Amino acid sequence: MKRTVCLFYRVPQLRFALLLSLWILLSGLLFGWGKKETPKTLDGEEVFTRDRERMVVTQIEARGVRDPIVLSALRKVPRHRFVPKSLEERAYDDTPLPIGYGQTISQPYIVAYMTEALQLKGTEKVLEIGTGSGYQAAILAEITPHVYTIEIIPELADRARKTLNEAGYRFVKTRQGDGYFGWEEESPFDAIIVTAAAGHVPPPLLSQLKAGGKLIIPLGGPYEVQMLTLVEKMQDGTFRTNQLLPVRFVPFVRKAESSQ
Amino acid sequence: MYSIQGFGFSLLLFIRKLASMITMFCIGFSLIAEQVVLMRFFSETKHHHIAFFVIGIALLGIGASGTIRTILHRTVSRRPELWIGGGLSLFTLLTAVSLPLIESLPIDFLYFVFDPIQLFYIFIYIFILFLIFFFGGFVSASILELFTQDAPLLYGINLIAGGIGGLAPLLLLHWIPSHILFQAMSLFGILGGLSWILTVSSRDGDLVQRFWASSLLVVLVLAFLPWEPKPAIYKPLYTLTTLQEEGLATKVLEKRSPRGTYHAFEAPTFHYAPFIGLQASSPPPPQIFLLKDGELEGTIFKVTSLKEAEILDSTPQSIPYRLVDHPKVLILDETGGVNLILASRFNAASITIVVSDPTMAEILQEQVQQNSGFTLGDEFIEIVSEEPRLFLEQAKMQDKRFDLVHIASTESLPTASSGLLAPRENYLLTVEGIRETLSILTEDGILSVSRGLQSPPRDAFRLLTLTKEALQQRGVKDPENYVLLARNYLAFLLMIGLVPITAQRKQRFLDLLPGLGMDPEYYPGIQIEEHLPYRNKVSSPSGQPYSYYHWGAKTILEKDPKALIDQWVYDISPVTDQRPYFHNFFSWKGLGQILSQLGREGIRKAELGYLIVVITGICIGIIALPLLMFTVYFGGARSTPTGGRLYAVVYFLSIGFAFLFLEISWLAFFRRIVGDPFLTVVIVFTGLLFSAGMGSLRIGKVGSRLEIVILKAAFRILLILLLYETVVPYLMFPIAQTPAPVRYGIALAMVSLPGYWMGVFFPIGLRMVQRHGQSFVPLAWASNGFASVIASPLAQLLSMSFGFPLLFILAGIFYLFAALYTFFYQVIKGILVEKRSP
Repeated sequence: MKRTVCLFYRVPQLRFALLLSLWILLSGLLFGWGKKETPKTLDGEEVFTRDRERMVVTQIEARGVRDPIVLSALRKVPRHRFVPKSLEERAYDDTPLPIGYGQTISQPYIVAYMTEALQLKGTEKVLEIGTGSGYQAAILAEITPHVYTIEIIPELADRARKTLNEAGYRFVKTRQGDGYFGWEEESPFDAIIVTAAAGHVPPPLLSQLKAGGKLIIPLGGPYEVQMLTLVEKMQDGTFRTNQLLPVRFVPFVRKAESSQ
Repeated sequence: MYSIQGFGFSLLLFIRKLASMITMFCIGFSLIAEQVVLMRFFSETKHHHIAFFVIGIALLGIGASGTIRTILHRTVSRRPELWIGGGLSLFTLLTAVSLPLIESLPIDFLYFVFDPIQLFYIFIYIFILFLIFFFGGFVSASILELFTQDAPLLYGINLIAGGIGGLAPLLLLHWIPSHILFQAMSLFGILGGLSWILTVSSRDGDLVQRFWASSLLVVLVLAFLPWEPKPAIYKPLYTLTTLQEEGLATKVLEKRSPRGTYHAFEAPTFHYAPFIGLQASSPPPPQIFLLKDGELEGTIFKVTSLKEAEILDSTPQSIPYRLVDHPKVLILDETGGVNLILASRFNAASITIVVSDPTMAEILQEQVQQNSGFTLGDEFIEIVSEEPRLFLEQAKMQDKRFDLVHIASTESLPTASSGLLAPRENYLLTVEGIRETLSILTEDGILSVSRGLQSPPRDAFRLLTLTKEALQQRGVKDPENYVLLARNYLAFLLMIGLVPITAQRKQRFLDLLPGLGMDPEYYPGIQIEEHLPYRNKVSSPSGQPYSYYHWGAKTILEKDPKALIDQWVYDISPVTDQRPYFHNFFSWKGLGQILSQLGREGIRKAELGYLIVVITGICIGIIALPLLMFTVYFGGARSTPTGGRLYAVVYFLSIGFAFLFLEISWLAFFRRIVGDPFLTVVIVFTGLLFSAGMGSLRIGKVGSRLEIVILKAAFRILLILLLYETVVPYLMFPIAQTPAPVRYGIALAMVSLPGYWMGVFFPIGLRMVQRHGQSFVPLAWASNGFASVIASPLAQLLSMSFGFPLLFILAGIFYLFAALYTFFYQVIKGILVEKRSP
């Protein structure tokens, strides 16, 4: 045996082959060859409902979101209808997903976490900045009937409005425009939720927040890790802030206002 | 008749030699120039870190060419002229088409996680660039092997051409955009090809001519095809150009220099407000956005009066102006006009702005005047274009003093960059940098720095360790009495006094904070309970009501910070001029802690810059290893004596590591003298290649005792490096007082002096190796290429971990080892030969 090994090692070609195989193996390990994704068989709405329930239990409740209103909303909203058809299968995965135009639909946990942080009771007037797919607006709409949402990218705004209508959330008021300036005519709001990264809290949003109201916003540079921050407006008009969670959101895209 | 024939033959040989020299020059020139231009191109269109890969890709290509030549040794040897001609044409063609080709790939960095095809695209992207350098290296190595007798001369020409190639973009990038300049480099391939046609014997002449003609045709066609690269989606330039296309932004300026491409945009709906407080009641005024290489550098407020910039009063940066009345202000590394307006709003007696980039200084001057109504350069506002550390040395010499010094560069840098800034050297944010800044303060003066918040704190802790060390170096025994620290919901402000903070100043500081919505985190004698609960709550040590910022400041300033430095999740040890990497916060221990606490999600917070260099090094090593293995196990080398093979591998690995260790560390080291990063690259590349080329040319004339020549060279290099190590820090002060061209000359001389001796190693090694057999030449190339590929990330890592001195010493040791190895190898071989002879 020892002799065979020695012989094997003495022959340069065999030695080279051995080293080359080791190298390929190492490269394979490094670059993650051999990873296989388990195929998912879809079986209509039932499968999505099952996936949604699993999502709530494993991703949301398990991570500490406890507000029954929020959990109930997450159980009801068909997230798969808010993602592109090609990604339906992954709609309930623990990840954000691309929705086009450089934007994403947030990870389910972040949607739940941000909604819970606003401590909604069911009658509040809520403004969302950054409609995106419309999923966050739908979650809010399951909680309160007074939901206002602004999206800057016209194509996304149109698509979200259509999706929200089809999913039964016609009462959500949508607008295409620059969220930086909020929605002056409908202000003040009990809560404002900004679902895009910003460098600072836009002053117009703070002035459109009711005394005692809450604003949640990811603060930080675009394409960086941002800090999810909760801003509370005190009765005397001053503010208190609380850094909650590191997150990564797409940038707060800026564009001229054109309401619809 | 005979003599005429002889003359004709000699003339033919001369023409052939000259033509091969021209070809070698063209290839050497474009190989280096293309690297410089490509780095510029990537800095402009992609993220900075992609630019770092250029050297790696180039070295990999050149190294791989050595391997392939080994495998194809016999085939190439049969018709070398044809292979060289073909390689030249492919080099030319790829130079001309590669950029439009790679830019046409549908790469989207945001979709990497979701779409595996993106990985394939990035592979193709790198592979296309790799091929350019592969064919360039292939041609160079083949010519060297074909003209064995002239190898030192040709190698020298190649290096000198490289030196000029590093210099040329410095001039050309003023006028020509990088993508066009890169394509224009194919003209050198055409010229090289043309001269090669003169070299080629008649048998393959026809084919080579056809290759050349086709590549010329493609280059000409491409020259008339319009092509414009698009900036990456995550660059602010992308957003602003998109807005411009929609009519929502106007480009007011576009300028280029070798240091960068500059844009200024006016976009009424694109607002930027550095660290504004929550009490600001209106949006920031309209702004002009200044971009360098597509990244936002700063903004200029479009205001007709200072009143319109009221929003700045809510920033933490406004505090120092409220503590010092009517100050003489110095703003270091300003990249916009915001700090200038702030200083003016608070009635500064005079304002000096130091901008390290001369083009940016020019743009600021022009834009600030047009939009904010200030005239820079009058008796109240002075603008200086100089590297901040050099400015500090000059100010010290001229005995200039300031009441308020603000380091502005930290404001525009991304707060959470995931370590992308880690490999970038910064000589202002070092212990020596802070110490020098303090030394130009008036007695009542304040040094201030503000930076975005991080959780857990990172930059604040390092700034505090730097401050403590700098104060102690100034002889201060109680540094805790010199520091004030406060923060709002976005940023912290650190203020350092030249003398202990007075009770009056402390009270004034505390009175200001509520109105600005800020919380105090440290002042001499602080009782944090008095200030709780915070207005802006951030993360706290477990079970404590106060923040990490307070806890860290108290620990660092009042106690021995060693335990904190050792245990903190980030490396917050004070960085020095020998290791000027302020933004490198990576710690192995910290990575473990972050991953164990936050799981996979924590990876985002791990400041991975250092680790990325480690992983890149490993990946490059794994990819490059077969290059070496192939050359060792295939090709002619296998059949020749083991001794020669071992010599070729060990010698060329050693000198490859030594050369790259010095080259990479000098890119950061000489910036301290030159002041400008791009100029430093040019001076190091040019000086090193040019002087190494001269050294190589000299070797062509040395007939014997080569082992003695390199032994002497190694000792000289070692001596010079030791001198640099020990003497240069003391010479910095007088050097800083000299005009910029003199400093460039000093740096060039300092690079060239050892460079000359470094240049003798490669040709001597080649000659030694050739004595054993021609087939060892590709092995030598492959070993050298392999070492170069591995050495560049390794050099970066070592300088980030241990500083430049270690790299200097290691390089010296590698050269000495190579020389001693050659010496003893020759002696032993000589003895063996003597013994064998009758």
